[in-house]
Amino acid sequence: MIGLRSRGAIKTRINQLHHDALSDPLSNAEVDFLDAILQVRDRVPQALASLRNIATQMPALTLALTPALDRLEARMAAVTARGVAVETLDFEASYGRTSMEYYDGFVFGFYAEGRADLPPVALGGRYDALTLRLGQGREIPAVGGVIRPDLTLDLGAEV
Amino acid sequence: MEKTFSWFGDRGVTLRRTGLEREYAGLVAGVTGVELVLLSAGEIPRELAAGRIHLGVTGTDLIREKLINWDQKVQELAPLGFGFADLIIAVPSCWIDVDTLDDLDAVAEAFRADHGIRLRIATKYHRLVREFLRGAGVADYQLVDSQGATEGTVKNLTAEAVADITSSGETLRANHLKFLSDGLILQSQATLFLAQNVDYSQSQRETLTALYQALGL
Repeated sequence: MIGLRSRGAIKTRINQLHHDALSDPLSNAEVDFLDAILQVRDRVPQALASLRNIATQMPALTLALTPALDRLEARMAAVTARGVAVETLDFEASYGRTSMEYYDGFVFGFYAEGRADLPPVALGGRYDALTLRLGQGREIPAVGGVIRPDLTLDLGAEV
Repeated sequence: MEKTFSWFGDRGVTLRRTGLEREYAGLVAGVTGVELVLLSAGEIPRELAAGRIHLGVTGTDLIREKLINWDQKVQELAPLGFGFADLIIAVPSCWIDVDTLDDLDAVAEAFRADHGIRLRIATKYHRLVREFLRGAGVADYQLVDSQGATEGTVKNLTAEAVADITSSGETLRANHLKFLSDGLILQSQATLFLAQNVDYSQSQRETLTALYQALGL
């Protein structure tokens, strides 16, 4: 035995694995449903319509998905009220799932048009889990992001 | 360095050290207009990216680790067939419940809940490891910097896992560590690179063409 992870922790996980092996796997229909949600990638209005459509096909999960879709719709209405043409914005259901680290909930990225080879010029999102953790139970709404200065300069030089 | 010299030598381009034994100066014969600079392998990526040297031989691991968007800064011209090393992720052999990255992710989550810190992975390849784990969906870990003797960090309780270069795996086994079966991050070898962000003059371009011809590129 070496390292900080204890014999007990290893034993606990082995028990968990045995327990998992005994329980039924997700049904194919449930897996297809999750895949379908994560594959949605379109302009905002079309993406929202697709997600609403998917939500109706799996009644058991409609309840879980609908509040999130209502929030997305409300957010897009707010963005429209700010004078942004949301029908020109791209939406990806899986956006930032593995790359956004401490951003959560609503996340966003800005890309240089026609330069799919470049990473996002700027990105960010909400800090829901972050402020909850730092506040040790208390939280405040916050949103923030980063701009990549080197990319911005390079792209500015190209204009 | 000797292996690089013989790779070029086999292709009719002679690289040779000049001056005293310990002097970092050299000569090139077989192609005109080429100057030899001897630099540490770790500095070659930076010098290529800055365009201070035009061609460089170093490991693919160092290029990808040290250069953001490496493929926009250098071009791989030829793998040289030596200096093989695998960048891998290893965990304690006693973790009999862990064989894959999925296992590592599950363990990291439980470890954070148990210990209040994220599972520590010791490495000097921060960028490569972070990108690899992000792609694999592993969360709840942190990287701790280790510039050497990385395999010892687990026993010394300064890390729970390591990401390091290995060629045979001997050192890992000796330190009671094992590979993850899907934890191969990169297979590196000595490679000849060309700097991309350089305005090559007409005569430099001709030199490059002559060199490519000699090297069969």
